[in-house]
Amino acid sequence: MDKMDLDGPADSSGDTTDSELPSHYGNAVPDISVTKASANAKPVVATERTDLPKYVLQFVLEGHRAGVTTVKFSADGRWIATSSADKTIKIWHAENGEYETTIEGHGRGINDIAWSPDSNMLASASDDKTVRIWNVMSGRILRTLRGHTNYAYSVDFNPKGNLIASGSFDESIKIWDVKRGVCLRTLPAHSDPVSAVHFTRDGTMIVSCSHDGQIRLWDTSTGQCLKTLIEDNNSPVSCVRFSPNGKYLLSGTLDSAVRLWDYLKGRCVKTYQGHKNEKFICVPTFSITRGVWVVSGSEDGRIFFWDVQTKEVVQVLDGHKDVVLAVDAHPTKNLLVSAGLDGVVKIWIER
Amino acid sequence: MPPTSRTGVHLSSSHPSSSYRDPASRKSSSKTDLATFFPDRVVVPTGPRNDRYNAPLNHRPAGVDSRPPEDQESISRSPHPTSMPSSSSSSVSSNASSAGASGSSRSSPPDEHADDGNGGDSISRPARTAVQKPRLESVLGLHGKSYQIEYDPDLDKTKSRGKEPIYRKKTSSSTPVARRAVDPRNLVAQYPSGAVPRPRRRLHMPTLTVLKYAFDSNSVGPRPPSQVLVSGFSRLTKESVVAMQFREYGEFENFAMQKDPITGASLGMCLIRFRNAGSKKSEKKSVDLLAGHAAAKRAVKDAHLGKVKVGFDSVTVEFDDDASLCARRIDELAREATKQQQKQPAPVQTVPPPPPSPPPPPPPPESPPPSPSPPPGRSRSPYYQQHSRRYSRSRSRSLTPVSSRSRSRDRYYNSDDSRSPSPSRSRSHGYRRRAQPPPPPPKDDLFTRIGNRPYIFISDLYVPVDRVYTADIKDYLRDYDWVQVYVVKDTLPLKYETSHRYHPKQRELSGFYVVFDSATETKACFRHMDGRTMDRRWRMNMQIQFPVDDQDDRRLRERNRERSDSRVKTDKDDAKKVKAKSVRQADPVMDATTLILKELQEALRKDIKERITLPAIYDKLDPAKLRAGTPSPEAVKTERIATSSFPEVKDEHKVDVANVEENNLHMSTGVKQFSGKLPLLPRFKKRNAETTSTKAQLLSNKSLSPSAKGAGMSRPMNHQLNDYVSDEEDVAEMDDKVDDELIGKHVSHQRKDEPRIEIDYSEADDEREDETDFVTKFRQLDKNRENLEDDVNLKDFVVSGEESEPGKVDDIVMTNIDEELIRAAETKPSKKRKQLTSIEKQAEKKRRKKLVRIEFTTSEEDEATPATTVSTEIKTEPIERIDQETKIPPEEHDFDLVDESYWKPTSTLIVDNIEAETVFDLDGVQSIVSDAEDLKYFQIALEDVKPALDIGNVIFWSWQQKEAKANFFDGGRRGVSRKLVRPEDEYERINASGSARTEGYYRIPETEKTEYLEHRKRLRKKKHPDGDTANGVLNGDAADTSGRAGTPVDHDTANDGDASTSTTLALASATLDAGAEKDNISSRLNRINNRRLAADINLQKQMLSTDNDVLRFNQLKKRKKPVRFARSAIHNWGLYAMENIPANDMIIEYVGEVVRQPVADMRERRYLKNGIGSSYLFRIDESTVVDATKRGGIARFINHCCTPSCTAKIIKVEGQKRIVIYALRDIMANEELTYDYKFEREVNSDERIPCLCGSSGCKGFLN
Repeated sequence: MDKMDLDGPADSSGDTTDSELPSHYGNAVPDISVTKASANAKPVVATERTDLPKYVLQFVLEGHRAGVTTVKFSADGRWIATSSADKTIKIWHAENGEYETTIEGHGRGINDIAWSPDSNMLASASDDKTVRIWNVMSGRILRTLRGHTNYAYSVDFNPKGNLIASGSFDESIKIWDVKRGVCLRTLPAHSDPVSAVHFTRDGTMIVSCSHDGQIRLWDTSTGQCLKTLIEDNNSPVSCVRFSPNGKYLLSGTLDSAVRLWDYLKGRCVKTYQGHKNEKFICVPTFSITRGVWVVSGSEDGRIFFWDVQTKEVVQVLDGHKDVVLAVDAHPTKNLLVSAGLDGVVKIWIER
Repeated sequence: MPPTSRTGVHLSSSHPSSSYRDPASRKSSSKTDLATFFPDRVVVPTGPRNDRYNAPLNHRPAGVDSRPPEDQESISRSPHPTSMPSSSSSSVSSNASSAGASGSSRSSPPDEHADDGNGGDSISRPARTAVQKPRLESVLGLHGKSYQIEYDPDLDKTKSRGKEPIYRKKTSSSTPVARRAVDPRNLVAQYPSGAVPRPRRRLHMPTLTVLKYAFDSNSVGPRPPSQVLVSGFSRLTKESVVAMQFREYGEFENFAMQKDPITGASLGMCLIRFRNAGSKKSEKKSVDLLAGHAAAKRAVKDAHLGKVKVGFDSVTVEFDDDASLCARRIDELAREATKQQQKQPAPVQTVPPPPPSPPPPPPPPESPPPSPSPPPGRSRSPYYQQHSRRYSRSRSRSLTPVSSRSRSRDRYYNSDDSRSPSPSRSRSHGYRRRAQPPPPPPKDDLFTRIGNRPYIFISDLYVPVDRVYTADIKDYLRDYDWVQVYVVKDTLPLKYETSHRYHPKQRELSGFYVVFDSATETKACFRHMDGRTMDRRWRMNMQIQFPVDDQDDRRLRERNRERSDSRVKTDKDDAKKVKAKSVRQADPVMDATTLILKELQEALRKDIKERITLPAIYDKLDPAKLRAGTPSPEAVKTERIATSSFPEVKDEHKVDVANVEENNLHMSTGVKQFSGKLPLLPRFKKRNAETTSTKAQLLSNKSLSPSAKGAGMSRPMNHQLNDYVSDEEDVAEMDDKVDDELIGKHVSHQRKDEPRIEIDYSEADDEREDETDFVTKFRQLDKNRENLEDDVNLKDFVVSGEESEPGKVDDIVMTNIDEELIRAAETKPSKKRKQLTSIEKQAEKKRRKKLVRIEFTTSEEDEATPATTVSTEIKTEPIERIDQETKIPPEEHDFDLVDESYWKPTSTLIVDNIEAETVFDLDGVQSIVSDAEDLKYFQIALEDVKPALDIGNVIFWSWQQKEAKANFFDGGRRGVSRKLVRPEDEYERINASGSARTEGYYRIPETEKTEYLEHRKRLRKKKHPDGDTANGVLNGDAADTSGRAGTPVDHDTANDGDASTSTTLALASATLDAGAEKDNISSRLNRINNRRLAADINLQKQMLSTDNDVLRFNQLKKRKKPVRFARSAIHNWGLYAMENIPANDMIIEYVGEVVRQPVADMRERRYLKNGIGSSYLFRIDESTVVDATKRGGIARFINHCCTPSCTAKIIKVEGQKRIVIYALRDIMANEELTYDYKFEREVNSDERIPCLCGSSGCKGFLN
């Protein structure tokens, strides 16, 4: 049996982007001149396009005393959570950027956080090898998930909110039961730190990537590896996530490329380049609130917007002094939040 | 269980006690509803015959009868039917209530004619609604004189005035009209004898009646009543007597004597429910359904006929299916009893009132006091009245009421009465009857029956009772609205009576008693008729009498009382006195009052004791006032409270000085209370800072202190004990005090007094730059960072802070001290000091003084948090504090201070070995620094530490720290001191930037991976077994992997697309511990056997001379050793021996697809592309490659090792080249099998594959 062929989409529920993405694949790239953004020059974007993103800086959130590793909008869009190497998670109002609270308790810097679907809980993966679940509003710890033998590196809630997948430097993925706080399954996934885990929209699959250059798809219920995607140059994969419709994968690799994978076919369909990403995990994300963009930070402190279809750089935001480690797009509003090694969180809004 | 709302409502509505209707009336209520729906129409009640079972007796609106007589008067004026005597009113059907309820018959005139014919058999006649009410009234007779008929077509047929009778409504104010109604009785010849011609005509029904069916099993609605209320028998009657009487009617389902709810005494009532389903089982069910009802009906009927007697009493039996009637009766009784009690002290009581309790003292044997009015009747309940009336009716011989209005009965009785002499000696009053329910029929009382109504007495002297009929009297007085006429035929000689100045009220004198309903009518009658001559022979000399509290009669009564016998009077007075006395004795109100007064006094006394005396005593005992001893916590508290609001600085100062002396004294005397004394100091310090505390003053204090040493200990013992016991609490308190001051002076005013601090700060800045106290300095430090920049300043401030504590006088010397000096000062053999030095050392060791400094100050502040709350809840303060302090003991992970190591909790608070086991963090410092002294030294130790961060609000910050620590330890376990336990063998690599993400990507050396990857860790431990613990861990791990092996295997096979069947093998992992020799022998035997087998097969093959694949025997397979695969330390997976394998033994064959070289190359590329990293291609020769990637045996899992345990040999088996793995050496069970891959050496370093075998002779690369 050829396991490369997975029947049907992983996510049956429709999505707005669902119709757009495939329809343009295979089309000729529009005759638009796109110059790759160099370090100093602003990227030239096509003038004939009118739907370009026009994000401008709105708020600068300062408070972290070390590099901000992850920034995430809550599922309901009300909050921004930022995790930092200073062992704290800070919660901010998404709308006005007001500081809300700080969650402390990790013994080490925090690598990744994930909101629960109901926006009441946060899961955080830390260098102290634990994954912790927090009540956001009270700042109290709900569960401590112990078991990783090295840094917990990535974490994600499943859409139901009852499972947490965590990837670790110990090269394994652990699936945890949120309620009981126990490890349900350990996937001996990779041969290098698992840099990202992400659930599909229906929670049936987990995608993971590792510094060993592999992206693997797992069946959540059985723990079977369904697919392995590997790049030619085998560069470390820093991040991977499902597209909102669950049909594609967006991966960031340390060869300064963001790739869009059709994981059913097992091939890379788009490669977005122009930014610099060779050492850090610069999490790429989709911005789908107006237009469909791929957004990623860069190690030169800028934020790049690509058109998903044309792969052209449509906007570049300059504002961070150091590596932009994380960007996240608001689920409904034209908001973008970015954070980086300089410890500053910035909220960008589209004009 | 309380019923739920809906059912509850329903239940309550149908509850017998609350329902005011009998089942019978409920039946008729439907008709009532009909009537209200069609108000204009005449609703015809159903025929009485059909309604028979809910007929008469109890069918009376209860509210009417329960009213007092004066109400009844008004009722009787209303056109509605009112009460009717129930005992014999056979004519009354349920129509009564329906008519009354409908209210539609107001316009309909009463029918005198129907009235006339409404005899005993009226039940059988359907009634016309139009005539119902008046008929009822007339039947009632008592009060029914609301209408007078002017013209009755039935009677006056000659006159053609129409067919409708003409009525005149009679009002009370109406004077007798000229035209009088003709008394129909006068037209009858022998009227008194009762021979009344019955009207032949039957009333036709205006509408059709509702057909009624007998109750059967198909019937809907309530069953016919099967329960009867028996009343009227003596209260002394036994239950069994009653039961025996009624047993003949049917079997009882329920038999309940009714008892007084208060006293529990019998009420002379009894509820009997007859069993419906009779005992006779042969009977049909439908019959059974009505058996109970039939029995009840019979009983009621018999009772109605007077056949039923209990003892000697004729009893009343009434239907009472839902016991509502009974409940009502009881209710009335109770109400009457209370009313009676209230009326007892009434001044007009001429007769000793009936005692409230049923068994009353017998009445005085002497002649009863004369009573001008019938008080007994008045004070009696309607219930008793009813009963008495009923008695009178049932026992008509004793007394004869004569009433023209209550025709049917009265006639009957009257006839009886006219013949029978009335033994009206029954002076016995109500209470007597009640008190002694006489076994013989109780004597009825005339006055009782007259009740509260005015009457006119016509003495026998003037109108002889034996000559004149009552009818004559009635006729003579027919113009007046009298109610009844009684006749009393006294047996006493008239002479005797006349010789006395008697009053008719005193005794029932022979004569006629004409009872009226209204006083005006009576008066009118008296005025007109008094002195008239009757029948030209008898002169009617009348005496008018009014009821007791009728206003018109007051005068009369007074007069009567004057006239009453003096002896009686005195008797009465005596009785009154006695009664009053007894009342006073038993007065519950008085008792209650005295009780309450007593209690109040007690409370007052207690209050005084507690609120005034005790504080005063405490004050006196206050050690501060005694100039010795530490004040008790309470005192301190109150004091502080007081001072916080009223800063009396001078007094404070003095007190504190005293305290200081005290402390010193304790120090010197070696009392083991080092912590108990000092704590007061900070407060002192603050006060001093506020005032002008100079060094000179302090010095003088110091000089004072030795002199105070001699002072004796005058502290109360309990204070000392308290102090001793709660050393820590004291400390805490002291710390709190410090904090009070640190935070701000007036804690009670503000929670966070930022402005206050500001003030302090400015004050300090302006006035005493040098001697600013610690707090202000610290605030300053917080706010003006630049001030903290220079060390000198900081140092100064610390020292000055200490300096400002007056108690530590010797500290003043230390203004310029260095560390040595401090140490020198610590020569005291104090344990705390030792601890302190250790703290210092620790601090130095850690070289984090800066942070510790912050920690420390904040720890102080942190303790202030409770203190701030204290002001709001002063009363709970001590307890709170104790809680705080006992809980605090605080070791938690400190993220700033502790160098990122893990701390595991110990359950106990560590006191002794602090330096070894206490984490040096916020809580650790709190636990170490237990008093002001510690604090001081700690400060000194950390004085050159600079704060690292701006922490903002210190309290908040420290709270956050604690919260974070709590979170780190999974919530909960806060304030538990923790031992430093570094997890053994834990991989620790700290990212300099704080987290892995901020660190960026870096290649992790494989050697480092072995430190944290589980399977490699296991291997490492295996290679370096460190004693038992390692073994234990190993075993545990082994179990762990074996348990976990199941899932990973699946992944991997799926992952690599390996279709081999080896998973089963892998799952069959078990520890095989067998002796090596035994294994050797067995393996050898195996081989021998296999060879024999192979030889046999070969022989057979030759015999068959066919090269059949079916018979191909894989010898190699037979010789295979049991192996399994599992995660390997070297690479992903490895193959492990499951038993001991001797050297040179074959282990396994490397099985796979045999492909040509180009195919293999192609496949290799494809595998690489698909991400199958591992290569499972084994070259046999130049042109042939065995590919085990997709199809193959588990031999492919064997890893490379530079010093292998096995070797791969290519042997020819039956002409085919096979790859077989042989053991190079003896291999132990569970050892991983390895062989040298013998890759070609690569020159390009990029393509070289690092070797991870970890063996001693590792070359570093595979190729």
